[in-house]
Amino acid sequence: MESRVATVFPKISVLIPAWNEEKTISKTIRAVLDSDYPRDKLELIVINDKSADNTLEEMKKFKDEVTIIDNEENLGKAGSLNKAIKLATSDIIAVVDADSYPNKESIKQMVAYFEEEGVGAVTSAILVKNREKRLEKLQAVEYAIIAWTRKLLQFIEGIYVTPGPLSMYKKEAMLLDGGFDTKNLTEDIEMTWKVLKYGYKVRIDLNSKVYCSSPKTLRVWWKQRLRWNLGGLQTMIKYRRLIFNPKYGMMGLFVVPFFITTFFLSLLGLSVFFYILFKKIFQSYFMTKYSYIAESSFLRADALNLNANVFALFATLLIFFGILYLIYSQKYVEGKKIGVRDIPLFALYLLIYLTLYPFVLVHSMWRFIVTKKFEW
Amino acid sequence: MVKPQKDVFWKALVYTIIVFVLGVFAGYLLEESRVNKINDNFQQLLIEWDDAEAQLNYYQLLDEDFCDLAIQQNLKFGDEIYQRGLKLEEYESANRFLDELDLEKKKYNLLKTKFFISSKTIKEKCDADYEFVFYFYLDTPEFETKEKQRVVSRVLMDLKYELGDEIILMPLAADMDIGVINILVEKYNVQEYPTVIIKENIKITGVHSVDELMEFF
Repeated sequence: MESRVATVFPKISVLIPAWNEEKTISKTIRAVLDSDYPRDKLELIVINDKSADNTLEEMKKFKDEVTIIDNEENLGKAGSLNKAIKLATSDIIAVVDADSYPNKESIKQMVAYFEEEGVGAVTSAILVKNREKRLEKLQAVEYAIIAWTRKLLQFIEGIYVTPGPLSMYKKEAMLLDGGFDTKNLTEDIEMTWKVLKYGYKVRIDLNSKVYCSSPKTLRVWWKQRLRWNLGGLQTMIKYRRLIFNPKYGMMGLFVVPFFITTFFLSLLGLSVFFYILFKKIFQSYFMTKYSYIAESSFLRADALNLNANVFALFATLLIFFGILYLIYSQKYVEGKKIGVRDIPLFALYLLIYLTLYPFVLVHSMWRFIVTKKFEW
Repeated sequence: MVKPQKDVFWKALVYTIIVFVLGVFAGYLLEESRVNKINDNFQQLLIEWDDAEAQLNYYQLLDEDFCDLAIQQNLKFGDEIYQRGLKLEEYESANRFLDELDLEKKKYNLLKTKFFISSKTIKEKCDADYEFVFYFYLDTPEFETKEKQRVVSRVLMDLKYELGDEIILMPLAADMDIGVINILVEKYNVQEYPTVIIKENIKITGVHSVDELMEFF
């Protein structure tokens, strides 16, 4: 796996925005402070975005080591970050979510990528911390696949998001167009697209790991994904004019078309899925009805057609490659040994979890059409 | 500025074309092998038909002592043509690229009608005790009719299993524009599908159980 070693250690400002994060903020601050990056080169700024709980009190426990910004009014994550960027004294800024815990080596490893000319943002492998419940385990599988996919996308300059749990940016790139877009629900996607739009490169270091809290219930998961999709749609609309524009490099030629195509392919896939499902339901209904009238058995061995059509063979091949992809991502990102015990989880992921995506997408599109103002 | 990596798109295009062409080629080969198999089967069946037809002509020259043999040969050929028809349907449902099976289906339907005429001749000449069961169906039916036909087809398969050599089952696709089948459709006044004609004079439409059909024998 690609690994870079920094030759210089520039000063870095780490920003941690927090809203009602009393349970996690201390651990996050501690994880950053425990980083192996030279302590004198690390500036830590934590932002309390008018939390209703004891987040501020928790922050104050580190008052000698961090700069605390206490918002008088709730500015949202993007607003809080914009406020903190202005205070940051470094040229490189790291953003860490208040419920995420970077590994000791992460910052040091990530900073090495800025030595490459033109790099404007670097992200890390975001992994799931809590893995007790089935839903959490499924997300752990998903996050590793996402990280692996991002690494592959890097080879074609196609990383389209530097997620909140741990990403680093050149301050000059962040400040373009006024910093984070406060109206966007996924300020991290929007920031990445902006960085790409202005011609910067985006990199990912899979050795730099950050562990974040993932939704524990389906309801929270659904809400999170809804926000991701709505933010994605907002970003797509904002940057729609870049599509197929070679002036914006891979951003115009790949990222925007890829993102838009993915949305529509998901919808098409869902439509085809429902078409096949309803066709089968109607077929079964009529078959059962007429079999009943004819006093004939519904299921018969002669109905078994072993002459698969070429599309079915192609789909089988696709599933095979999908499983390989899944296994490789777990192996390389998580460093896990894959065994027979993982099969039920992987099957659940492929057969059930993935099929939820398009449903969230349809919900998101509906919300996008009917909602005028979007909130977290 | 990150330069567009044009080579990536070219590579992707080339790989996509290679995978697509290989996929289509593999599919084509797979389906062609099925069509060839059907073709080979049909050629074999044609030879058997020529043989059966020659036997019939020859038996007509002989006295009635040879009737048993003629009936036996005829029924054997009837079973053969029915089984191969089922195989043809199975292949047809799996094929996606080639529509050559349509031509094969027409040939089969035509052969079935020729077989009917020869069987009828034997029945009259030898006073054979088998009965004809015509099953008129549509090759491209609408949704509900398709499922109805599937059930009727199964029921007739069971009927054939129950009655064995007592019946000759003749499934005929009514919408393939085959002249002789059109004549039969007109003769039996078939207006809805599926329709079953038993003993050349009992017309049954809709779905019925094997027991109900058995009552006609």
